Amino acid sequence: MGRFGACLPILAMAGLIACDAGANPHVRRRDPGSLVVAQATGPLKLDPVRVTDNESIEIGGLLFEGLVRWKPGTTDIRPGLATAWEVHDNGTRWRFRLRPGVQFHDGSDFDADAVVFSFERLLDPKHPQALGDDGRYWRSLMRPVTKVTAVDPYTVDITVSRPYAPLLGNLAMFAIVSPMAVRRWGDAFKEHPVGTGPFKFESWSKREHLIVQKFDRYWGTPAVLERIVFRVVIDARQRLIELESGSVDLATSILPDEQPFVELHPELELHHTPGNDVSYLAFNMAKRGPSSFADLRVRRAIAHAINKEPIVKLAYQGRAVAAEGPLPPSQWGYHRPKQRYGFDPVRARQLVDEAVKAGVFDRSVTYKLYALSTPRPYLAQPERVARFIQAGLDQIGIKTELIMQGYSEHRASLERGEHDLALFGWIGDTGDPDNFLYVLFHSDNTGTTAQNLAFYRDPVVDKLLTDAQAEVEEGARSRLYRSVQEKLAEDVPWVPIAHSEYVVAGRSEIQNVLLSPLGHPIYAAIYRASEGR
Amino acid sequence: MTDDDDLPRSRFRLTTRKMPRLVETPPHSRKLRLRMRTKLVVAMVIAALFPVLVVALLATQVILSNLETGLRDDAQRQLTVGLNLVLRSVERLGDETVQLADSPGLSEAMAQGRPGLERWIAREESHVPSTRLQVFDANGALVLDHTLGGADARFADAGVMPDDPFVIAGRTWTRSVSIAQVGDRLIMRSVSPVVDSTLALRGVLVLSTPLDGDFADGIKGALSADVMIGGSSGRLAVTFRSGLGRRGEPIALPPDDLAAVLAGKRVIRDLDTDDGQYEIALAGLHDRGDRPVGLIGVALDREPLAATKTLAVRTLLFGGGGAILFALVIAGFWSRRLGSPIARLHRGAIAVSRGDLDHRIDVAGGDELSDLATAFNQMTVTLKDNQARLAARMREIVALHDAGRAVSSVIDLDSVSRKIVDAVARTFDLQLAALWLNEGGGLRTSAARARRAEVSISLAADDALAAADALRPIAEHVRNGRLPLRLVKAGEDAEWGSHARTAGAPGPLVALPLDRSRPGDSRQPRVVGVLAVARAQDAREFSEADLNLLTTFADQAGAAVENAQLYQEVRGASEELEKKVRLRTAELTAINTELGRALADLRDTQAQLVLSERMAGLGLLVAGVAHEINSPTAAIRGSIDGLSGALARVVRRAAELVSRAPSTATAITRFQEALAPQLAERALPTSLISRKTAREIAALLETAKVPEAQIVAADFADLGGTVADAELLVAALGEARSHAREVVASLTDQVYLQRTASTVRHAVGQIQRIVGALKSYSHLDQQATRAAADLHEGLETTLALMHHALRDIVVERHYGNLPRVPVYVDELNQVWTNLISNAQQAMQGKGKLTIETAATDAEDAVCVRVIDDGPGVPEDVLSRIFEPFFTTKPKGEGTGLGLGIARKIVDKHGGEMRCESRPGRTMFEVRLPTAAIGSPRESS
Repeated sequence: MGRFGACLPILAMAGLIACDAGANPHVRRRDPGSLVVAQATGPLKLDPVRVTDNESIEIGGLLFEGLVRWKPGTTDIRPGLATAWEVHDNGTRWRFRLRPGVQFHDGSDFDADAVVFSFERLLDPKHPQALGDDGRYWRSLMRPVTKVTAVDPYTVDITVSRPYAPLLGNLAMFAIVSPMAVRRWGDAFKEHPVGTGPFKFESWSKREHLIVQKFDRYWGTPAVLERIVFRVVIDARQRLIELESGSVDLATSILPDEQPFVELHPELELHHTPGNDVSYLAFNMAKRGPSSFADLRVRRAIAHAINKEPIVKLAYQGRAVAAEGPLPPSQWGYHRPKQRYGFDPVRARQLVDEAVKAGVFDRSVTYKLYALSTPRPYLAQPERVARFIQAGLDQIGIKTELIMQGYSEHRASLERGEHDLALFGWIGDTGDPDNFLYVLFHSDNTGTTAQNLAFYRDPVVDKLLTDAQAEVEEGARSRLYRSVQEKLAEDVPWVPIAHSEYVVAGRSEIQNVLLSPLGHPIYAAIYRASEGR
Repeated sequence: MTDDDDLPRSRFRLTTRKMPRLVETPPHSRKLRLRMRTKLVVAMVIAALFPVLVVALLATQVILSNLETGLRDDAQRQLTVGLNLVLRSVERLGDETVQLADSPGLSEAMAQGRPGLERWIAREESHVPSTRLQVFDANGALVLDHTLGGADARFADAGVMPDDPFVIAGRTWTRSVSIAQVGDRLIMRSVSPVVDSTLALRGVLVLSTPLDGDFADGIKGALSADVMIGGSSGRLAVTFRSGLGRRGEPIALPPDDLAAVLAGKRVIRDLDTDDGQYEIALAGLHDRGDRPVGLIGVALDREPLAATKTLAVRTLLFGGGGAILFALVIAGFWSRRLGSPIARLHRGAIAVSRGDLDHRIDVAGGDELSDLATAFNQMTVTLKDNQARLAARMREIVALHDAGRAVSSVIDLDSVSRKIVDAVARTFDLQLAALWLNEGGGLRTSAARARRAEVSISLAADDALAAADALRPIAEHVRNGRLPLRLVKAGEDAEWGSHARTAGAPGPLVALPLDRSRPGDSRQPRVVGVLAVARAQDAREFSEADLNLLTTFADQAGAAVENAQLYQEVRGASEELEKKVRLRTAELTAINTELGRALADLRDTQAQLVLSERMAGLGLLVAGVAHEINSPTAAIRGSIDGLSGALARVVRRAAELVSRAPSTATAITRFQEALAPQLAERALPTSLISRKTAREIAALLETAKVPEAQIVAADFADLGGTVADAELLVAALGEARSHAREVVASLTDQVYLQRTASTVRHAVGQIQRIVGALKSYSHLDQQATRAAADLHEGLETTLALMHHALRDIVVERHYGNLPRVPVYVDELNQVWTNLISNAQQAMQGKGKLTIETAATDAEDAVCVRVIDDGPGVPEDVLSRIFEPFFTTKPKGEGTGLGLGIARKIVDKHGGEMRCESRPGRTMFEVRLPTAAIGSPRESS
């Protein structure tokens, strides 16, 4: 070493400093592998068989998988945890071949026992981990299922009491859970979900944030993102500000008023897809007597009194289509009924007058109109829509009191049947018309924790819906559903309002944002473009 | 005693070592000082200053680059904010449009037409910003066009026509807001439907505001930067102001940047304008259809940054230069301070290395260098002292070493003693030296040397011995204690003083044991003597070094004394030994003779035993032979009993036939004589075949009208006769058909005779074979000489003789191609007998015996192996089986000599015999040379 050897470390150090100074100072994010999503509200439970709210389903869709799944962006069925299936015994036995080598997030193996377990905790009331009331919704979807048996470790037979066509669509959303984790956590599984999906649960601070991370041993194409942080940012304006500043990457439930800002902003993008949903004004048909909407004329009058086009244009900023029935036009089985109720205030008033005269409707009562205080995918400005409706009803002499609550309180109130009128919505989650019509109108679903919030009971509709479930042929099913839709247009248990378009705002460096028919970004494919100028 | 002690001392030869060559002193010591000073200066500057300068340089660079980066970051941020402000303005315009459209009274005002609207606008004007407001009715007709906030010129081209898509959309309830480009300018525009409380459409409201310099000024207020905004042509309105407060001229962007911005990228760059240097950041603006319509930019002044840069460079230059100058001065001063004492030290070191040990260095100052000089001076003093002492010690060592050599070379005890005393007295300048030797438990004064106390004249030997005698108690004390004794003033010592004075040695005295004990072995002390030395009364005392030398010498002297003593002992012992050897030799000769006799007896006994073993084998053989002969004899006897009866019947029937049928008798007799031997040789037919043949023959006989055809046919067939034979019979009978039965009966007898004769012949042959074998075994007909023989013959003979004993044993033969081997046939047969009988007994009469023969590859020997599948020979027995009298059989069943004898016979043939055994396979191998051995080895 020469005389200047002692200087080498100093030079090296100096070099380091110089390099550091030359590094790009524009690294905006400390953790570029993660994606931050701002949501208006957080999930309720993380056990997807126990939830019906959109955020829970969205997150459940990351953590869990069903035997089948949708082709991204559509409701076409593709193999999921099952690789193949056949129908036997005149459509009463489905045989599924399971995908080998799949692991749950907790390291246990996915096999036929896990499938049987997932069904039994739903269907068997004596099961040690029975879901009880929480499983009502899925139990109603799986009602025809009588037996689920493991034939061998990778073959499962699902026996149904009658041919039940919607089963396959339902299975796309029916989560297969890790029996080990459910046994370990019991009821707390809803806070410690373990599935087979591309992401696994990391942490959850209710009403603040929920974090999922990439599951490295995922059997399919692994996710690009390392981590997704779902943050609850209740204020819509704040969501947008954070998006603009780059502290969040995606924001849901963007106010229609603010969408032009996003559209005009060179660094933000608006992603949208036609929604598989419906917003509606439901009458509480369980109530009887003149101070209720038991009379058909009153219901029809209200249907005439609501002008949907300004709602769609003004409250949804055009990101929706006016609804004529419960099914969105993109859903197969959609039918435009012969009986329609155009905006006609004169006719509306006339009908109300008739009912009042007949003594079946009391105009002096102030009716309770329940609405959400927070936006939902199907109802981006619930208050505004509610106020429009209120004004419309006022025009025909029906006074209403607006009761606005958060999602879960709203839902609970409706399930208890406290409402006279309810502004609410539904997101079809299986891609099958059954998932709208059976769930929302069959008398099976009028009990506690009801989905049929109009408490509509009609034997004809019940039969048609049940028959449609038994029919495997799509054309015949469509015909049955057409009859149902005609009958609903006659009976007006609801005034359908609109089918929304799902909108997610994102930063433009977030690439490949494709929305599922439920309006959820397909997170596994999302990636971040390297940051440019 | 270790090996080292035995090394000859002469190996050490003291040589005067040459001093190393001295380093040449550089001619100019001044040059050294200069060089060191330069180095010090350079080192100090480099060590202290260079890193500081480098770090300072880099830090400045880092700071400047961070400032640069900060400026760019700031531009980025300002652009983000600016963009937000623009878009928020657009959004606000939309909000205002909606608010105005929803404002109470507008729908009523519209119903009243223009005057109503004028009133409405007058009411609202106060809280609406500068904009151009246009109202269309539900049919699309323009009913109001109003510019709020004056400055009509600015809004002149901002309005819309009734057929504009914006207006048309508004008429279907669509609210919208967007940015449009009109010429070079950007216009933000917003539309909202005007509805009444039932949402019925009344008209459309449109607000338009240009995004121009004035607008940019508004944004600039919220930013801390200048703003540029413009359409897609790239001419940007700016907020720069000249000295007089006039707006700067629009600037034109380079096409590359413009294209990049319109493509959606941010561009950040420097920009030089007449007004100054700026850092600008640009972003594109587009309409709701994502079409690029223009761009917005922010500009930050670069002047403060440039000033900072200049300042930093200047500070660095001055600071660096000053620091170097300062370092040079300090380094020069210190190198001078350090240089001169070091040079003095250097000179001193050179003087010492030349041998000048009197050189002294003088360095004042009290620092480390003066300490070093003091230490150096001390070092030279000590060095000189040590040099003198070393020389004296060297002389002593040389003298003593020579003495040691001299002493070791003598073996006569008395001469040794004398030499020791002389040597020690000479070396150490002694008054008295005495040596006592240990003899028979006491000490004998062996030699002494003394000087008169006053003068240096040696005393006579006797006087010296007398003086030494006075010291004997001290010597005894030392011998018993085995430790040296050192007295500084012997005459004054309480214990030994009187003895010392008597001996005339009151001065320093040392007594040493000549200790030859083994180190560590205290049980057998071996002190061969004691050496005492004394100096004159006032002489210097014995130092530690003296004592060490004396101890070494005493050691050496002890060895010499011991050697001399041993030599004397050995000489005595060797004479004694010779005597003993002669005596023993005589005894041994006697014993040898006795042994010879015993050996001869043993040989006789052995021969007797061999004979008895042969007799035992013979007995076994005879028993077998008797049995072998017995069986054929019995067969012969049985045959003979039936023979006479049958013969009588045949004769009688022949006579009858001749008398009854004379004509055909000859033919019949001839037929019988011809057929009987044939039938006798045929195997007897089975009953099935016999019955079948009988039926055919009966048919034939019936055709030939033979009476009792069935019986005749049955008898004939039983004999083994065929249909062809029956035809011959019919032919032979001719007319005498009625005698057929007799003829056949006679034939039966004749066949019987034939068969019996054959049996007897066979039995006799067997007997002959046995007898022959016996003969050949014992070689009765051969002399006991060596002859080339076929070993297979001998083996077969033995097997034949032992046939009886081997009756339940399967014998397999694997005979190879053997040459004839010269052997003593009968003796070798006994070998085979012994081996086979051994195997038979081992297998307990049942099993498989294999006999293999083969020639070796070189054909110089043949091997015969006898292998049995018995339980095998245990390993501990295997090594002993060839010993005579060794047997594993119960007492009385064997002599135990069999295998021993066999081995001896094989030995006699010059062959070898060995055994391999494991359970299930025991093999004895006999290997015989094919070449004749000139003189057969006789066993001893």
